[in-house]
Amino acid sequence: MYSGLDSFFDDFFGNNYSQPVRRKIPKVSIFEDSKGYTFEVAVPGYQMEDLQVKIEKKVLNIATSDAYNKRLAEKDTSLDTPAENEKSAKPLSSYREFRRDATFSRSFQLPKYVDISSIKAKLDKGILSIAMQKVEDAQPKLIEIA
Amino acid sequence: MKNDFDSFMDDFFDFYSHNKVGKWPLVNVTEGERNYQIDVSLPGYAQGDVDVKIDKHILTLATSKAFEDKNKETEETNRTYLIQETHEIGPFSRSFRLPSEVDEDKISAHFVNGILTIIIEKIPLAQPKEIAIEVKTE
Repeated sequence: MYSGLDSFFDDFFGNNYSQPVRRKIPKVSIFEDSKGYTFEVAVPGYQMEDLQVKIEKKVLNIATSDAYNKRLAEKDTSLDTPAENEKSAKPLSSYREFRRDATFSRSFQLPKYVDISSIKAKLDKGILSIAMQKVEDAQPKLIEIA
Repeated sequence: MKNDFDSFMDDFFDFYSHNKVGKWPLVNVTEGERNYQIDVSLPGYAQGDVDVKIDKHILTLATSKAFEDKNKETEETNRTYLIQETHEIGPFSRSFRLPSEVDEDKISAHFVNGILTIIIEKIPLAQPKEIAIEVKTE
């Protein structure tokens, strides 16, 4: 019954978005301009060493690092973000609209004409930006008519 | 689905939002013995973009005038979004009613890696006092 919906959710990158919502963290936006593509990953609260960007056989993977995953496993995961000066104490109450301190891994199939060597990642203001260029052949070019 | 804590916090914080879209930015609120901590998720924003104000026990988070001026100037270049899950970086305003037990003068805020953390101290509870009853003699 869902086969129609599945292909609707298949995006340009061949990534199937009919996955359960809980897999879709962190939130990612992908945009394209004439030169290439940019992924913007919302990762507020994460430091550079907590994250890992990997490319393997044209699959881009954005995940928390092994060091981060290990650190999180050792922490008491029932603790919500405690007050700054009471890091060891359990909070009296808590209310949460967003999740932080989570491990994650999301993968995206890249299209054929991405120049893998051009991929660059940077972390700024809680957003991980991954930019890549299309291979030259894929960029539109006007050919002069003699 | 609201759990007990959500309703509990609603009673004290009475969330309401001026933003047409809904609750934005998203917040986490934690109550400690001595203070409340509010973490605001603001990826893409920097310190100068956001104002935090308290007036008559209402805390307001909003984009600053500097941000609004900057936002008008930058036109999005020819970007075609293939997927858009992240929230657009734009102006916002969201307010909260603080519980009466907080000390509005004891508030601090810092902004790191796209998370704005606001800490408000509680007014310490008065210690119970025993009052001696004098017995008057005629």
